[in-house]
Amino acid sequence: MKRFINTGSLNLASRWLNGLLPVSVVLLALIVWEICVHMFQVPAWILPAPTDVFSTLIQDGSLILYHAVTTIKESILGLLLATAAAIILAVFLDSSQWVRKAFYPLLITSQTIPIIALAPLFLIWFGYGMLPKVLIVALVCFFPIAVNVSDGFRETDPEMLKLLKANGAKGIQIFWKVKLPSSLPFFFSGMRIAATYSVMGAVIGEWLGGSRGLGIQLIRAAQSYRTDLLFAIIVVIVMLSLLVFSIVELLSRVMMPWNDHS
Amino acid sequence: MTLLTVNGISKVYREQQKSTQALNKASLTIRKNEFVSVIGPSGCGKSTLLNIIAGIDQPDEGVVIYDGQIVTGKNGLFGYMPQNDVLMPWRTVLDNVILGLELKGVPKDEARKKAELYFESFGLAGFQHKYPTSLSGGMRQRANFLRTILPDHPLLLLDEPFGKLDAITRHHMQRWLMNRWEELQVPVLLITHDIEEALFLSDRIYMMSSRPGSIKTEIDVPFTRPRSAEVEYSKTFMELKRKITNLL
Repeated sequence: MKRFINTGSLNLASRWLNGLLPVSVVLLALIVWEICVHMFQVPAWILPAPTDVFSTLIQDGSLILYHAVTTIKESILGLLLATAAAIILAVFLDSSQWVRKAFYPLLITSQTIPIIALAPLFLIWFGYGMLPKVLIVALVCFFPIAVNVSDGFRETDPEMLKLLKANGAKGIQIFWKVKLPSSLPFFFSGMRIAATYSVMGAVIGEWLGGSRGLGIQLIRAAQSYRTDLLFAIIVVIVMLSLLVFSIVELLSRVMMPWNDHS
Repeated sequence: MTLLTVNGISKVYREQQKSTQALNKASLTIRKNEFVSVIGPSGCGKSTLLNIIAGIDQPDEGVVIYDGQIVTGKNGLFGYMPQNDVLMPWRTVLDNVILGLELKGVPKDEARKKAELYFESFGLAGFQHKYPTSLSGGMRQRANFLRTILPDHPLLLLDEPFGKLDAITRHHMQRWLMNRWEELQVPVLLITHDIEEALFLSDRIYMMSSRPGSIKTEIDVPFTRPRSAEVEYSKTFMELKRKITNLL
């Protein structure tokens, strides 16, 4: 019993350490950065000190927040759209091996088209509102989810399919009772990749035009040599990406409680 | 009284260039309340034969007759226990064992209530709401067996159920299965490559030849029921074991 408690507290300590290590690395880097900026007297428009970036983050907080709300909306809407489209496509690809053979290579090839080249086209077609940005996010996020779910359906344990068949299960029952739940881990590994792409997709979309969003603010800050603001926005983009990622992570824990024994 | 007749089953698997004949005119019968084993070397097509009876695979030739009707290729009639337990990791143990009932259209609550009654005698008490990852190998196979018997099928098809267990657990499981079977009174067709397992559990043993598989010999096991573990040390047991070993 005593040993059990000991390993328990050891686990807790090592988990703390796991979290603490990357944080201390970042802190150390920031300190070195701060010292270098002051020591070599680097002009603020080239490289602002971390403390300057932090104070900008506070001062211009309301402005950044205003733009961040748009960006996060686009990211999440785009991610949801991508998820829906990806699942529908994966189900379609799974419907017969001929469909898969015909469309899977096209799916892969479609990913070689650079998003950055498609984005201006979206502006021409859909204007400067939120829609083209949402579509760009969806386009970026769609692929990892579609490929993973599609592979997940294919990796369904053949023994399990045999068991269902022996019990007289119909195609639709096999889908709901075996294929869908067994593809969930695949779905979430696709979602994790997509989540980290989503905010970046929105920022790229905003670069190309519009009136609101962190991407636009980023361009404006660069053009007016507000490097401190630029860094502040980057910090916010990172935080938003982490936020979307942790939402996905939380969802995977809720939807796959059987995976949660580690 | 004959319950199931399998008559002249042949099966060839065709792949690009080569084709393998898995079964060649295999025939057997199972009578009411009988425990029958099919024993044969690995790769002799005994699992294929079971899959055909279960309706998962189609034979090229031959028929499966159950209760006077041709049921070749029809699935959902018999209880099928796969070699790997294939418990679904996303379902709790209780929800795993009710799968067969669920597919038969029994409402979940009712199915769960029925299943709960068996957890004690299946050595799974307390694990109803756990996920299968927390079960040992023997427990997993007991859950697998519970899932197979719950829908009250008229015949159980067991595909090497203890093949992957360690020797000690396997031994326990064989005795345990014997007790359960004597309570259940349901005919069983067991596929195995374990001679002692077949002798200990069965009323009759069919021996299969190596590929292409067909039934070579039929052996009656004379031990009375209920059987105790003692039969394994009897002279008749040893003699039959020697006979089967020589034939295989």
